[in-house]
Amino acid sequence: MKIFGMFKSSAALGALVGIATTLGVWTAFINAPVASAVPGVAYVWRGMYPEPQTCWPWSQFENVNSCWHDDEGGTYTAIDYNYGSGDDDVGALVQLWYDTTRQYWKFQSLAGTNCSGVRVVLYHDSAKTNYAGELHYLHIEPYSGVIGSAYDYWDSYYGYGYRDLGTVKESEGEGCAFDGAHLHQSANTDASTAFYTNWNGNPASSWEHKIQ
Amino acid sequence: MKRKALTTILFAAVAAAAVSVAAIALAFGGDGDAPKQAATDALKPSELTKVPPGQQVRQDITAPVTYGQFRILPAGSVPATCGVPHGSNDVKITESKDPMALRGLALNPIPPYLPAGWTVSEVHIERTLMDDGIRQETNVSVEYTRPRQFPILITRMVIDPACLVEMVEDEPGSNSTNTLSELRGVKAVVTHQTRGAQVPLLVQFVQGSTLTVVQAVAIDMDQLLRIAESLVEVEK
Repeated sequence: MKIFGMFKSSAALGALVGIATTLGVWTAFINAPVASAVPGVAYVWRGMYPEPQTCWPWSQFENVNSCWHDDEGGTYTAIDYNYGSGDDDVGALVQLWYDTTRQYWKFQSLAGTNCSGVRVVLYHDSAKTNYAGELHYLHIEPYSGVIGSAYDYWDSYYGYGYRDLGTVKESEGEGCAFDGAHLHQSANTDASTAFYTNWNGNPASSWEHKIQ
Repeated sequence: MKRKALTTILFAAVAAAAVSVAAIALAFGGDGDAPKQAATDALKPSELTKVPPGQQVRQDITAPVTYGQFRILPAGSVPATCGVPHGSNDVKITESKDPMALRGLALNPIPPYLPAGWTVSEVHIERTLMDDGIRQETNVSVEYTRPRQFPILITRMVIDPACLVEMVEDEPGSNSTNTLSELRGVKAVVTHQTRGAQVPLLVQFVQGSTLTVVQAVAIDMDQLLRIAESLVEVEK
């Protein structure tokens, strides 16, 4: 995939540049950080690649973007993404992608669910010893080689990292709360984790979770 | 002079207020989430040295390892999911922060043993419409939190008894692996660190058609096993 392949929308790239400029982190873009450096603020964006996209309005919480919901056990805030209608989403590429500073990730299988997906664990350090929280990407068929691996991608100029995780599934096994192809993307935002929720933004076109 | 002093005081007050607002905004991440509290009471990576009893799975396995109803796959494999027997995808979900939601559940996730200080923060119940038209609990989980600790999540879910629960080993050199263990005579797989690291800790075991999963981060291994062991149902 080409570097700018994921920015099909110039608005999305503009938003990214705007955030980076606001935070005054251009120097971080130019100077690649040392591998063991403590990561700084980063933003995790929607994982489903094609555009345009919408998110499903659960209307579970008042006074926030209506797409936010928490239908997983635990303190996970989640968004369901759709590219089109019906089976339009089937086979759509799903990526972990984030911007601003390098982060340290591991990829594991999900436990305690009948749904298929990937658990992405975030660490504060390059040795991956200090737990910082985790993301869940559900209803996807993981690419082989993803689960059980670790990943430290960093592009020093463009200031983001990404990894292809898999593709949106057409169906799920029995017992999985699933009503059609889509991506369910969530993060553990418990007080002890590094994740914050973008409660009022539109996650389809803005960042979904912040790492701080 | 007085006017200058008053101006200075007013300026200082405004500046202090601005700093306070900025600090609050920073504490909330500007997004409305609860203020973050570092998990300073959790065990430090260097303190995470205990491993569970049993046989540790080699990280470089090239073929699946089967243990009871579990199958450990080589790193990079894509695991299958088990599914509910004779059920459907019609699943109703109930979320609650009230511990009273745990009353009367057939799939009881409340551990008879839990270390002091942990309280219920979230209850999650899935009820699946079965082939016989009856809606049945198929996945129940409870999250316990404690200030300055990572949460503990206990899940009980119905699976097909003929299904193997597939897990994936971490790549060689990783700081996480699996050990084939036992809890009161019941086969269990424990996911844990290979060296001092705050990796997600999992204990999983199957009894009948129920898979029990206890998840935590950076708590004492003996306590984790004791929580899981207390959930084992002893045949009478």
